[in-house]
Order: sequence, then C-alpha cells, then structure tokens
Amino acid sequence: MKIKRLLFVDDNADFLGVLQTILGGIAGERWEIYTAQNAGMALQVLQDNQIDLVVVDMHMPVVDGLQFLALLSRKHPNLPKAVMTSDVSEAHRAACLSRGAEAFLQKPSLPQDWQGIYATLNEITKSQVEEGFRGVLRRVGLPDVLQMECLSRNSSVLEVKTHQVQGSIYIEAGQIVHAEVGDRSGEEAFNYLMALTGGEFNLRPFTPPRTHSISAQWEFLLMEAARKRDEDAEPTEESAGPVDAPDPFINPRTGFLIKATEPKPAEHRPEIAEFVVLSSQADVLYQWQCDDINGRINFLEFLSQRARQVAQGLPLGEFQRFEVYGSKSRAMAQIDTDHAFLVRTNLVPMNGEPA
Amino acid sequence: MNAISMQEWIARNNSTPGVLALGVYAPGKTSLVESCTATFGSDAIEKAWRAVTETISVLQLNRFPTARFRFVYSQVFVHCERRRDGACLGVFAQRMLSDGELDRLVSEFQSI
Repeated sequence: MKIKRLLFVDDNADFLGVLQTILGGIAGERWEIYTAQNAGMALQVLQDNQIDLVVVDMHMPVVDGLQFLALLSRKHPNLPKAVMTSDVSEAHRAACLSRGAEAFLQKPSLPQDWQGIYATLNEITKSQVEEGFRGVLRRVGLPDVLQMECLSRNSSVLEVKTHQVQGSIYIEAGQIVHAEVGDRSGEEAFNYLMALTGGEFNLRPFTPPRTHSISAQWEFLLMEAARKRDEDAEPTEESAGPVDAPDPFINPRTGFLIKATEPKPAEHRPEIAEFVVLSSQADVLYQWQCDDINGRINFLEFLSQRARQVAQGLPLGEFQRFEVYGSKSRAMAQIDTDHAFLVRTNLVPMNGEPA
Repeated sequence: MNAISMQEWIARNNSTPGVLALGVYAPGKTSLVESCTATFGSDAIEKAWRAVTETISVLQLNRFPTARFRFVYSQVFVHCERRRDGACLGVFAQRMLSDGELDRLVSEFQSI
C-alpha cells in the first residue's frame, strides 16, 4: 500500500489541528498529513516533500486560495488540487474549478461529514495523472516567477533578455535585493524590467550581486511595478502577433461552425470573434481579439482536465473537441498533446452589418 | 424538476439505439444518470456525469453560452442540452446516433 501525502493549507490553526486528528484517525496509515498556514509555508512543504494532493482554503491573508491555486497550476501543473471552504457558492465553485481544483468541498460542520471528505479526497489521490496539455511546465509571467521565488524564500538570479536589453534581478532568501539593466540599477531597473512586454527570462542559480540596491519588501515592489506599468507608456519591445485573422473555415476541423443548425445558416453567418492557439506549455502561439488570455488558458486547462475525467473508466475513445452552441454564438476548443486552440464566433444576420 | 418523472423518462428511453447513457441534472436539486450498456459501469458513469455537469458553471464564468455543449471523443459524444429552468440533459451516444433520435430525446426532455 502506497502511503499518500496530503497537504492542507488553511490560515486557521485550530481547524488544521482538528483536521489532523479526525482525518488522521480515519485514514490511519494510508495518509501522511502535512499542514501549512500560508502559501509560503505550503510552497516550502511542496519543495521538501513529494505531495500527492493539496487541499486549499479559499480565504487566507496575503495570498488567497484562488491566487494560490493559480500559482500551484503554474509551478506544479501535475499536482492534484482541491478546495475546502466554509464559503460555498456557485461563483466560488466555478472559479476554483476553472483554476484547476478537482473538487470543491464544504468544510465539515458535523462529525459524520468527515467520512465523506475523506472518501472524496482519497478518490482524487487514486486518479492517475496523465501527461498531456497540462502535464508540462505552464506559461509563467515575470511577476509569477518572482512571487514564487519570494514565497519559497529562494535565492536566485532572474535574467531578463529582449532584443535590445539584458538585465538581472537578484533574489536572496526570498527578498529582492538588487536589479540592474544597462546603466540603471535598483528600483528603477526593477521597474524597467517589469514593464517590458516582450523577450524572455531565465532563472539562474544565485550569485552574490555587486551591490544591494533594493531594500523594499517584494510585495511592495511588485505592486508598485504593476502600478507604474499601468500608468507609464510601456518600453515596448515588439507588438503582438499578426493582425490579420486566419480563415478557420479552410480547416475542416472547424466545419461545425458552418454546419450548426440554429439559427438557420441561410439567415446567419459566423463571424470570427476570437481565436487563441496555445502550445503544450500553454505559451500563447497566436491570439486574436482575446480580452482575457489568462482566463482562456485556465479554461483550456479546465477542459483538458474534464475531458480526461469524463473518459476515465469509460470506452469513449480519444478526446477530439469540445463544442458550445448558443443562439448568437458558437465556440470550439481542441486539445492535443502538442497544442490547444479555441475559436469563438458570433452569428450575424446575412444582410446585417458585421459586429 | 420531478425526480420520479425524470427517472421514468430515462427508463423509457434507455434502450434507444446508439444511446449509451442518459443523465439529467437540476442545479441544487437532483442529478440522475443511468447507463444503458454493460460497458459503462455505474461508478464510472456517475463520475463522468459529475465532471460534465461541473462544466456548466465554468462555461458561465467564462461567458460562454450553456444552452448546448458537447464533448466529442473518437467513438462517443456527450451531448448536453439545458432548459430555460437550468435543468440539463446529457446523452452519452455513439457517434452514429442519428440527429433525428437526438432531436427527439431533446424535444421530449424540453417538454417534461
């Protein structure tokens, strides 16, 4: 019997104590229970141990459950996640599921409820994690990497490179201590690097910087950089992809857009409203008119996860696509091992003006 | 939604050629699913149906329509149709299921 390691993250120490006693009693030697009272401690536990399932509370200070789920999806994409909260609502449920939670559970209020919690979580630990769209390192942004490094109290050097500039951000024991780019250094360099919209970055082993030019807390620095980025004109490296939308009707995979029966094709025509293509690492290969790319990445990952769960134990064959039909719009998502795409169309009257 | 009448309706239709399982779901009220074939175990189909119905709230969160959606696999598709009251029908069917049969099931479900 393989012992399962579960990590529970909740800012309520009393609840964690009760949980450890009751669930530990039910699970016996089948589970090894770890607890953490905040995201930073949880990341440390994850770094030091091979955890099989993380169960997160929704409401926690500094980094709440939703933010933490998003961080986990990026740093540990194959790690099963669940949410256990006393604040149960459909909106929260949808938000958690779309950020990769496999289950959304209500905190037990009666002693007998714990048995159900145990059964559900135990079931999740049994499910096989498969490689696929989510089975690789996810696309992460510069702020995400910095946040993860600081929360984990790591020491590292983040090298940022574009066609025109190259800079570094030094993180020592979870604190940002120095940044440099060209002639700039300190917070000025940090804000400049954070405002870049193109290029690439690499995380390198820590080497001591020539000077410690930054003393502010990392949380403040990240917030300040985000505020400045919104306010200032960005030092744009390069603009986003091509402007012309491809013609998806050339591709037979999108044939359903034409075959849809309601409203009648004779009266309406599909007009592309949005198009997103992601690599297996969830890098955006192409996007057109996508207002919320992170939301779409989450949605495609959710679909990938659901498609696997639907087929688990049933002879359905290989997952091919997901289709959505509305009276005014259509959407189709396809998820393969090497890419994923989403097309959304609006149906406009044949004699009407394009939207 | 009346759970009994839905159960009866599922029982009446579970031998429809090409249909492998039927499910109905009313948010916060009832969720029923019945396998129509020995190859679909009850435990697996219940888990699958739960995974399908959880998709509804995520579609809403992402501002997609939820009136009709479909998971398409190489051998089977899972067709879902929602009524105005939020009740959802799920048809696990072989790819060869005719549009006519599917339309009949949907139309009956809409009128229950």
